[in-house]
Amino acid sequence: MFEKLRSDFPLLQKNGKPIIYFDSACMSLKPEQVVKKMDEYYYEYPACAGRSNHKLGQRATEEFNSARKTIAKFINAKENEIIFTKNTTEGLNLVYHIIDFKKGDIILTTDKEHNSNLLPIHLLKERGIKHEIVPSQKDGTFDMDKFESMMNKNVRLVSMVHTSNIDGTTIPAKEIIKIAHDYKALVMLDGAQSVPHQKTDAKKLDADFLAFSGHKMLGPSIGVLFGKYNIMEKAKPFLVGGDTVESTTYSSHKFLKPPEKYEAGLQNYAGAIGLAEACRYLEKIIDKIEKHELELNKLITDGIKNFEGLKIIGPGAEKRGGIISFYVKGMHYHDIALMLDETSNIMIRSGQHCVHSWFNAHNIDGSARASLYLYNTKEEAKVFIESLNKILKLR
Amino acid sequence: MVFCFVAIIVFGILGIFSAKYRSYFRESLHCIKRTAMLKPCDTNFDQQMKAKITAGLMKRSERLGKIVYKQFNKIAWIFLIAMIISTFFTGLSIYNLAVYGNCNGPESTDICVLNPEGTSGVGSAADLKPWLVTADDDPYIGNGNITIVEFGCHACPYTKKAEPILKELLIKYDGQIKLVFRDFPVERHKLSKQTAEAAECADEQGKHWEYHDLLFERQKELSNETIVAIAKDIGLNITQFDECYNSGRYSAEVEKDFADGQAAGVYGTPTFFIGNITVVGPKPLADFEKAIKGQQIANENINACVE
Repeated sequence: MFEKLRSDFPLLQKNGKPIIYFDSACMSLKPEQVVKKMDEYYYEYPACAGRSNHKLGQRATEEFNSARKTIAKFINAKENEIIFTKNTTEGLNLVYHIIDFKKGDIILTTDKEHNSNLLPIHLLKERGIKHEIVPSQKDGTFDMDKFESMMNKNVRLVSMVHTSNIDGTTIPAKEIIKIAHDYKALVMLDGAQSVPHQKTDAKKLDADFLAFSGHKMLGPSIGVLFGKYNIMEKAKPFLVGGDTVESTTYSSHKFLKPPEKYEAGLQNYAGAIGLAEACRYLEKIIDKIEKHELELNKLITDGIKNFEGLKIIGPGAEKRGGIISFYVKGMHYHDIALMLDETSNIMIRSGQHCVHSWFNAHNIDGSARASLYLYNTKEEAKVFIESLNKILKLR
Repeated sequence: MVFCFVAIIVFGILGIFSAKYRSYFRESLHCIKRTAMLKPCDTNFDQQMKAKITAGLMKRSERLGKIVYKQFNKIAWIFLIAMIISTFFTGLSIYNLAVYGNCNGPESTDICVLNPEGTSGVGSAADLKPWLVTADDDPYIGNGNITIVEFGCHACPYTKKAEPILKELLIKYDGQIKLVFRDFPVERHKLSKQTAEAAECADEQGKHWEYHDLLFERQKELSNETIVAIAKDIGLNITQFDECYNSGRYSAEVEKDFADGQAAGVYGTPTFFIGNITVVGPKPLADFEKAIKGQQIANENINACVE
């Protein structure tokens, strides 16, 4: 089934030496349908939504609203709970700004948070907010017992990466959320690496906030913040301006309801429309993506795990989704990535993947990371194994 | 880091000819600036280049790729040191060329690659006046209706370099060309005037060309003793030779040749006049052949007009 879908991705159809794209955790490829949908906006109705009453403006409003509905449906949320942002980072930052933290409040995170979910807390610490970290188990999976022991009435926010971009492990979000809510804590999930790969049901999960990015799920660069309506309605926005208010006088204002309240200024209409098309594309296959990635992950893991000096970060393949992060004794991770690109057109990422804190804590310089998605194949996985084997012989 | 220093020179030169390399040049420049500020290179430029070079080599030989990958820094150091040395000597040569007219220094007679004309002298081929050139009564070799008049210097390495080409021409165009040697002693070449006069003395005894050949053969060891030794080696009457050479009998003749050369615009040796066509420097055989053929056509046209 996934093999057939490859024809939707123009980059995979190019003549000449084919590319093997294993960097979807950073940015996914885009199917033709998404690009066409965005082109349609730019060619046919490139106007403001929610403002202008002319024909183009009406069409833009219609498509923008429809996009919000589609995205809401994709994660089983209400459309007024979907706020468009620039990316996941902005969504997370927005939440940190609208919660009225008090001195002594605790924010609980995992030990594998992306800088986007770590740096806002560093800034809050200056106001007396405490940051506590739930250490992972030895194999990198979430330590539920430890988490439970750390929960208390001072925990104001549990903010965690749903699926780690370092090792692909997914936390048991539903249980975590339940426990957190028992302590009346809010819960935010960084869904950048989970929403694109597994069916995410905001209602069932019951998270208060869920941030994710369009560009990691076949869409353009745009972010989405799901925020429970009752919370978002009461909170004060941190970015204000055009379209966030019903009316203003020289000395007063009346905010609109969410989501408009949080969407200041003209929005990325083409981005939202493109992301909605990506959601429509994914909707039919989202249940099968994880299984497909796990199969490929297992194949790759089995193929490379015995390479001399190679260490895969995290637990067994069955718990790492589509992520294979590894480092090799005697060869720099950047060299591995660059050589795979130069010799075999295989694109992977290398570095600390914006989780410097975890690498520093574990005294690991960095890693090479192959991240898979629906368009990757077993043949590509085999080429990856062979090429890596060849490159590692350079040591 | 070291690679960036090598890269900036290589891509700086390549960037003149192709825009493709200019971004690499900028990256290496950035890297060097960071190094100068004692900060690490933040663009992975050297790693990118290492990967590109290794991958390229691996296509030809995996073993070679492996060696370059493992020894990349050492190789970069070797290139850097070689480039520094090369830059130093290039600078020195340019200085010598500017100050002494020869990139090898004031006393050297070695060939200077920085002199594009490949001659010993400074001037312009456009100023040559072939219509003022005659064979005079100077020694010649070969017989033919095309005369090549050479203004040369026995102590000049460029004149020496032209010798094998002339020998080949004399064989190939036997019966068609006549080569005349006129003296144009270049002052900065040691014993240039003395060798010219000595060759004239050898000509007095009918052995100019034998003496001429040996002077070139032993050019690097030229001295007053060599001048006499060569005369002995080719069997000249030494008493007569000594008397001729020591009396400066042909001093005026050599000076006349030099003056005639100057009048014709000769600015360096060797300079050849083939009819109205000029060849400056030890040019390839093809250049001489082109000149000879041009002169042949000119001669035929003159004959046609006569008829």
